[in-house]
Amino acid sequence: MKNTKELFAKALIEAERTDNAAVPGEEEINWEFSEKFCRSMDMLIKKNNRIKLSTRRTVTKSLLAAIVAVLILFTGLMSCAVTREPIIRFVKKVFPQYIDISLSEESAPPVNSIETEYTLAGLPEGFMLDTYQKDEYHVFVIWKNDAEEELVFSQNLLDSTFTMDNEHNYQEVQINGYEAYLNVYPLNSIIKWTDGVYWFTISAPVSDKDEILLMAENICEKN
Amino acid sequence: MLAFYMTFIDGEDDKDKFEILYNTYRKRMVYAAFSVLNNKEDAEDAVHDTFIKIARNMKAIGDPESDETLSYVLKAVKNTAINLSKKNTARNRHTQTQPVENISDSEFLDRLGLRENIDEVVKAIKSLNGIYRDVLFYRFAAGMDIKEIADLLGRNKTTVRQQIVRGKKKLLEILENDLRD
Repeated sequence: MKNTKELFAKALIEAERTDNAAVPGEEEINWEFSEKFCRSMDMLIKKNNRIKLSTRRTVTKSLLAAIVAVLILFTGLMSCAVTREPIIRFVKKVFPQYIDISLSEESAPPVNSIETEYTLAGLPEGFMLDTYQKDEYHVFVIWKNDAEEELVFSQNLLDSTFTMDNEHNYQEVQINGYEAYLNVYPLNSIIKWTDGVYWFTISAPVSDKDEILLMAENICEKN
Repeated sequence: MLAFYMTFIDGEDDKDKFEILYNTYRKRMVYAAFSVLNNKEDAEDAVHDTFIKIARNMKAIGDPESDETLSYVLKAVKNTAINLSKKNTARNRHTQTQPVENISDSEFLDRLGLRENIDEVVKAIKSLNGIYRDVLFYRFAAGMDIKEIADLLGRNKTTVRQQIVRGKKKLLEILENDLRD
């Protein structure tokens, strides 16, 4: 297999090489990098010989904001899986315009596939099932109404990484005692939260915070 | 518990290599990013963010001036640019995927028949959708694991895992159809 793997790697590189031949050479590209870019790249390359995770748009802000917060510590998972590491930690990387939430490397998810499927307990009037996808790792459902508004529910394993907009009406709330991340926009709202086993997301055409919180608090096992 | 998230480039060799990457590819990278974003500032942002991602995984970079590395950085910046252009569209954050049955690496590589028809395989790779081509490149040519690919391309791990499986199947389909024709 090693030999065929190497041959396949060669084939992949060869396919790219012929495509990349169309890309102009470095010296043929006439691009004056902005001072801001040069300054921040200079920081990346030289300063302290280390890379700080940041976005260039607001480097100074990012230096303060690009922190990792270990969000949630679930010691209670011991009862679910005695042979597994009982600690689950979520890492929140905070950037000026968005946050990333992911499972920390030392954590062991309590399940490796969807074992219990959840859904919304009730649908707003007029919404009908439009899309239903499920596999080992996630559930994704869309309901639509006559006005083509979409109500989206997803369930993912804890090893999924999420991004949330933290610039526009962003709030951190609680769903059944667990940390949740909420964006309320004029025409729709998005909430992401976990129950310690899965990540859930609801995107609904509502501008009322209480309405989406109610949906999230009342998800139920699918029959 | 709070901690600063910092990714260090370990070792002088990697630091030198990183600087070579910057000096060798920055213009081609910004060219590729601009072709997606059509905005100078956004294109430079994409290049900067890509260098941060590259720095987090310097072990995947071999010879910094090889064809493989050129492909590695161009694919990475193109994906960063695409993600940047989608960032404010909430719908794009939802991954829509169909269930897919796995195919092992060994079965996949056997079925490719590389020893007999490597040119056909190259041709098939070139006609493969870019989404699959990218993940297969990082998986098999750069030898990266799913987590590293997901980090570099800004996709979630489940998505990358499924795209690799789908990419393998699509490639086999293309080859089998070509051979039939």
